[in-house]
Amino acid sequence: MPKPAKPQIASANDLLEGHVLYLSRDGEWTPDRHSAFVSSDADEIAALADKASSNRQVVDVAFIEVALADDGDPRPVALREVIRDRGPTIRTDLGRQADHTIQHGQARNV
Amino acid sequence: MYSYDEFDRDYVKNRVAIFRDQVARRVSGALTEDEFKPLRLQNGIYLQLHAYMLRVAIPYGTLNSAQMRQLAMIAEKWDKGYGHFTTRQNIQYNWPKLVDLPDILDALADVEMHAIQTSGNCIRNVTADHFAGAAADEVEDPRPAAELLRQWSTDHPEFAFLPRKFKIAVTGSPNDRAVIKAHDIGLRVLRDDAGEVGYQVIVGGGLGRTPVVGETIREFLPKEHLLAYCEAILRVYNLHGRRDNKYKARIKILVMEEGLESFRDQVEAEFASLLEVHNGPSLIPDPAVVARIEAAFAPPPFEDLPDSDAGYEARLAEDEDFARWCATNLTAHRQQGYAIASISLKPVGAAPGDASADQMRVVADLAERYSFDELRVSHEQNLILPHVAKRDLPAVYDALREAELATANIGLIGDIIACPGLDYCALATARSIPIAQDIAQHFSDPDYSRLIGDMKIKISGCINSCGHHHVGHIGILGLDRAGRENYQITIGGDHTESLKMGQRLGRGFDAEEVVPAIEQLVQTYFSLRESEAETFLQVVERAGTQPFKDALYPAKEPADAG
Repeated sequence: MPKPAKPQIASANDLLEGHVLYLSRDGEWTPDRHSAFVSSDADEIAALADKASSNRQVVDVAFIEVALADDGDPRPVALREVIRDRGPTIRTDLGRQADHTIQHGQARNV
Repeated sequence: MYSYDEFDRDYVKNRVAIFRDQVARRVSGALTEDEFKPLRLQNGIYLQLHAYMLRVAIPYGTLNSAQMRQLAMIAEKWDKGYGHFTTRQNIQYNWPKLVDLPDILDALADVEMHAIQTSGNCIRNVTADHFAGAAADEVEDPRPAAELLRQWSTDHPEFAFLPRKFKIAVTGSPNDRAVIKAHDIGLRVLRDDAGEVGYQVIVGGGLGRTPVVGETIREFLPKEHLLAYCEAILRVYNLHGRRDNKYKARIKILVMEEGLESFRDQVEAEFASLLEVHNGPSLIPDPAVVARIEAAFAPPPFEDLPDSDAGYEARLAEDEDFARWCATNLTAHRQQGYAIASISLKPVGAAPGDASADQMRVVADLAERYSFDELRVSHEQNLILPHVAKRDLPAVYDALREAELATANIGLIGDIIACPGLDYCALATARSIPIAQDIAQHFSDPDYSRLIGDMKIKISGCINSCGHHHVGHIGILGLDRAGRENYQITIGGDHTESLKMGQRLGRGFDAEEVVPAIEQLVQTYFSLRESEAETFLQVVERAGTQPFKDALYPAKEPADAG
């Protein structure tokens, strides 16, 4: 029996600035991971990504596995994506983690 | 130092203008990402985990104060206030915006710098001994050869799309500080029996997923044939290199598969053809061009100084910290009364190779005032003031200390090479910098690290080996093991003229187990060494790896049959 597909979100980098973006439920690319569109159907995410209005302004679109927190927050599973989401673990003053509107845990101990 | 001529200036400025137009077309949508990506890579621009990354070439690791100040300005104006000096003597900026990159490249061009050929399957920035032009053991300054190679390889139309990237390193000394045996081509300046200066040519070395010690393809190559012989090597490689498999595409695989003798025969035939049949004479550099390049690297106007200086000696006697810094961070200079001063970019707690814009300016000021306006970047991710009069050493030290740049650990256990690892790099499988920080912190007692003595720890965050872990006395390779960072440890690597790859000791360690494992290796070394003069590497060579394996992986008690 095939394993059930795991939940995923789409991520990319902003063409102009390079920073990390996520594909929202509204089909927009946003820095806000909490509003990312989550699906276990990769084709469904890919279809939304293809339709995203600002698709031309992002690069390196990738689908990343997430685990859903109790509040529904889609949290990246792979360490690479956790670091990409937050910023360098050795410089917590840099990257998305430096944006205090985003909630993060202890970066060094990801 | 070499200065651009009109051709160089026009070429670099034109390349910036072309790239500015390419960025505009990408932003407008006229170019797709697939079309644009190779264009940005040709200008040293990668996309990493958090942002774009710009890799700037520092030819053979030499720069002046104006260039260093410009690097500081770029860090402050367009990045996050710091830069990262790499194991290829380059500097990387981790946070530039695409739209700013043409302006950054223009600013680099203003000080005769660029980022061309710092990416892609081409001949990359030529590296050299970081003590070039200053070392007491030097046969000849390797930088004129490196500059000649830079001019030949820049935008060389035949070698713009090689099977894979291609790296050349040059040393002018029998004591190899440029790791030439781990390069696609390694060159060592030497004299033949008649006293003529030429090159030992080494080919097919490399680290990465298939570490190979380069082999000598020519014991002695006359100076005038440098370009023709390199062209012959590149032609054979370009023709026969494995383009079918990225992981087998480096020249080292070709040399291994063909065998050195067969490869040499092909190169020698191509070399002869180049000289005799085709347009060979154009590959023998115009003596006037060579003379201009050599003049650019003429020794600075050293003063005639006594071997030592009373003020320097007095400070040595009264200031233990200064004496410790001098003992570790100074190297003998070829000119009496002078020293080579290494500036450690490895203070405890810092990311190896990182320097803030303010620190860059301090170093630039010191170079201008005390080192004939010269600076070097080492492949060990430190900076060098190559020509400091001993009488000026107290002032230099005080200024470095003020800028938190006076860490006295060159060549000791805290002087760790570490790649950016998973904190920045899109290719990495594990973090490198936190491991380096933890080790440096654990061994931060200067007396303890001096007791350990000569120790090179090198850390890579993936199999690509940017952190040179294969040739570390202790090498650490970070991998992803079922979603967890896991670190393999090797010992016995050697990055010098007697280059050797380290031997893996056994299963990998979790991140928190690495420091205790290193401490265990150090304690084993202490228990084995016959005197304080016997280094860690010498003990590994004498006693083998088994005692270290036994220490790291004690045998399990036999199961109780009862």
